[in-house]
Amino acid sequence: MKDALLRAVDEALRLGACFADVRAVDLEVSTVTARDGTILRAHAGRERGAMVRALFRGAWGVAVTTDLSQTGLIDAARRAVACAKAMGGSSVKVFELPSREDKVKAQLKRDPRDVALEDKSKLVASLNQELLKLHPAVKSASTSYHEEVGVTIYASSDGRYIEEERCLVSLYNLVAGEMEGIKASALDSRGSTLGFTVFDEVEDVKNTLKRKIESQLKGKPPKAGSYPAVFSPKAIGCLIHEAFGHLVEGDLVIAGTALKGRLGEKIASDLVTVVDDPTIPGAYGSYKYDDEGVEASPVTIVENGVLKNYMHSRETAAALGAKPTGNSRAQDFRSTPLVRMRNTYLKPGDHEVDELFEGIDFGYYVVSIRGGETDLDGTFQVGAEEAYIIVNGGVKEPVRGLSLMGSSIEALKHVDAVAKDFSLDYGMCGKYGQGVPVCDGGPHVRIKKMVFGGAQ
Amino acid sequence: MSLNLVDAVLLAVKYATRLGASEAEAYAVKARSLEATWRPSSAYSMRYAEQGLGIRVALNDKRIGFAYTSKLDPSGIAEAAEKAVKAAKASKPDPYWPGLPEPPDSYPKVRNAYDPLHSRVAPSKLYEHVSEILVLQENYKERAKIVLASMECSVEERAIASSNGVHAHVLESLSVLGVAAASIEENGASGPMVEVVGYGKPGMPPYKRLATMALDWASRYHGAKERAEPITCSVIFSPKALAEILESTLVRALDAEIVARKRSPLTGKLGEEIAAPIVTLVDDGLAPDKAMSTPFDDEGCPSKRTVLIEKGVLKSYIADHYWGSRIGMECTGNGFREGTATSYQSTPRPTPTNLVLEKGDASLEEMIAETRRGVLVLDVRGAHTALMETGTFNVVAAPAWLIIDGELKPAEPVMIYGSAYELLKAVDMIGKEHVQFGSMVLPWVRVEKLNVTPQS
Repeated sequence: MKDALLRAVDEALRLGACFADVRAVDLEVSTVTARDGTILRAHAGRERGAMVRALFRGAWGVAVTTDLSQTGLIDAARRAVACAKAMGGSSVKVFELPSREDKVKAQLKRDPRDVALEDKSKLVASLNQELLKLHPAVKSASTSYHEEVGVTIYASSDGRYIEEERCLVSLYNLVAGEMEGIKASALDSRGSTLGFTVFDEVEDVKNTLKRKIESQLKGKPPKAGSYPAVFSPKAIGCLIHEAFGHLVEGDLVIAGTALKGRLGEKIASDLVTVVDDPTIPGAYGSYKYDDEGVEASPVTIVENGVLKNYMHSRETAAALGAKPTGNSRAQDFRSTPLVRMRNTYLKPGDHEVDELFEGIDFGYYVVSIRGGETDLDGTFQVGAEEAYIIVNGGVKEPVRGLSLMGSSIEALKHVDAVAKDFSLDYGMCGKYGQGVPVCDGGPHVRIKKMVFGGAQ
Repeated sequence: MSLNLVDAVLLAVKYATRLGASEAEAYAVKARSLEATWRPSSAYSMRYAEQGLGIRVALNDKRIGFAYTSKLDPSGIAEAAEKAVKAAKASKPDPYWPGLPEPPDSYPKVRNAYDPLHSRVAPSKLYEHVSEILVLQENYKERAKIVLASMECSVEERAIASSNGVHAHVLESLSVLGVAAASIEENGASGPMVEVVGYGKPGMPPYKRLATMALDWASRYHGAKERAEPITCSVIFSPKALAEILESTLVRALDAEIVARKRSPLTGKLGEEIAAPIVTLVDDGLAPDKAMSTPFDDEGCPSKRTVLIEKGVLKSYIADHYWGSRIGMECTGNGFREGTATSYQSTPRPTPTNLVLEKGDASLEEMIAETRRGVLVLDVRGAHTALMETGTFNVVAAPAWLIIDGELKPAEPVMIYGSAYELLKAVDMIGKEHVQFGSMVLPWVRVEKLNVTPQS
């Protein structure tokens, strides 16, 4: 395939492109789904295709094809150049890199292809049955196992040729039920780049779901208002990702986020250091090269409260006078790469976890977040999935339907204690309709003032 | 050599039955599109082509399997058929399997399903439209700007065949406009995005009119903001804002799978009043010139018009063949697969076509004029964190305006919370013009009472 990719790049250059690249993907995909202990379905498929990009007078032409033959790729290169020429010029620049050739093998603990589909089905069916017995309230349970194993190949006109094995394995579980007229549902998702390891965590999955469903069934409507809050590693990771991380993605910075033009400024409490690191072994957002063939390197976004760096693609680096950071990612071969996070976390501090709750007369302990959304100006909303009230320094009863909102930049100014624990959590991040695997996390963190919404 | 879609699906059914499937269904899609997109950080034109085929099989003991391929030659199809049978063997018998759908007597006709213009449009023409949108922002200097302009023309061919005798084939096309504008605020930062979507079936969407509308709203939001006080008041929702809230709550609650699995709060409520008497909601797969209109769904069931809520009373759910039969309902022609070009990679499930909320007789101006104290909400953040089971939502409304004695004043982002199901009962005015966002076709709607608080 190498020859076909290089010829497609050459064809684009021959037709006048000043830069061209090809990204081809070949993945074996399997899914096993179980529902309510009665339905068990297995799916299998192969995901093969390529995207060719050609830059002509500052405008991209792009072609997507599922034909990976030499003729198919050369034809795609021609269509990409024709598209670029039709744009009539724009201002896109690309950061070119020294040539490099590399083959990266996936570091797997256990290759999922070594496990028979029947065995995966049995594990899924058995877990799904167990979820139905998790709690008397549970009436419905879904379990879904998904794996994608194969290779991404990248070739570019600046002499890059990278073959990287990719292996993503995930396990998704949802339980839903009702007790005494209260409906509740709880979700747990896990993912790994280490291969077939997700079933090692089954006991933790069950415990987490049980705790979440109980917290919702017993949860009282929350009191809306401005209160101190302690965030678990999982919750602070999600908050940092949703409410802050998107504001420092190079493409959105150019579009005009609230952090545009503020490098070097103090934007958060001294206790806040935020890093986006794609080199953590096994983490769901880890890889060696991004989808533009750039070495993936850690980015310190905020250091002791000072905004240090944005995250970049080749394109945003060129536009903002920076170096690409390996943050350019595409959901699949059909999608153009965007600046995306990888494994994003807030760095641990010095406090013991217990100390964070001390002195809080009334506040919330946010354990997990259902998801959220942020606007360019930093206005965010996230919904808590599991949360408890804190009264006189102690964690008390759960609340249901709690949401958090405000300005993400204001929130980070109010961080007043950071614990020394640390964990990372699996996630899927959505942007412009594309989902990519990520992790986010950190330690327990206290924010002295946060706006909460609730039902009363 | 790739086969044409009709030959490919017939061959797939033949292979699968020969391999021991008692029932087999093949679905194939061939999609191509041309897109021109401008963002502040990039500009590109993209030609996209993808084809693929999915095979669903049942064995004698009701074990179901599914596999897909993007190789539409006999060897690729044979490999997928083998994988589908193998996947079925790794599944377990489903006692509820009703068999594949039976062929209908005939399929309805859909006006303007295919417009040759969508095939013929040149990349330069499409980008010219995008450039015309960008020029419009010159009239809004220092008040509003475009942050996304995108146009796409897509053509999709679908074919289905089954061992039950289903045999369907269609060519369809659509053009789509996506525009986002934002106000330019004092510090140079962008305000919250105003997103507009438009569809052309046939022809092109009225892109200049829609982009002007986005810029007008963004410009109206520019400048000093009023701060809301905590209040229970009337809220006027734009079609987009209402679509966001209903998609996470009502639309999922109407899904036959969610109903069958007793997760939906609407389970067992047919014939009951669930909305205000002025609310009538229809799933109309045959609505003239609407984006999602189509003669049949992705398992070959004919499209139809299904009244879901009639004058406030729940009349039906949204069903595919399998989940419909689980709750004793006929399929409503809503068995679609995920995505369009990638639809061959999944099996059908209940999915709305055009969900049309019947128009009322009020203009937006009349709604505003008749509101003494209230909030007008153009868009919301965080609707996807709403709970389908309870309808509880907590969203940040932005851009939003306070309505004081019939006058609009730009508001700091406000938080709106309540239950989507209570919201439906409190609808007291419905606009007289429809706007489509994805599958939702909605007018502006006023809700008599909702809780509003400032977000900080």
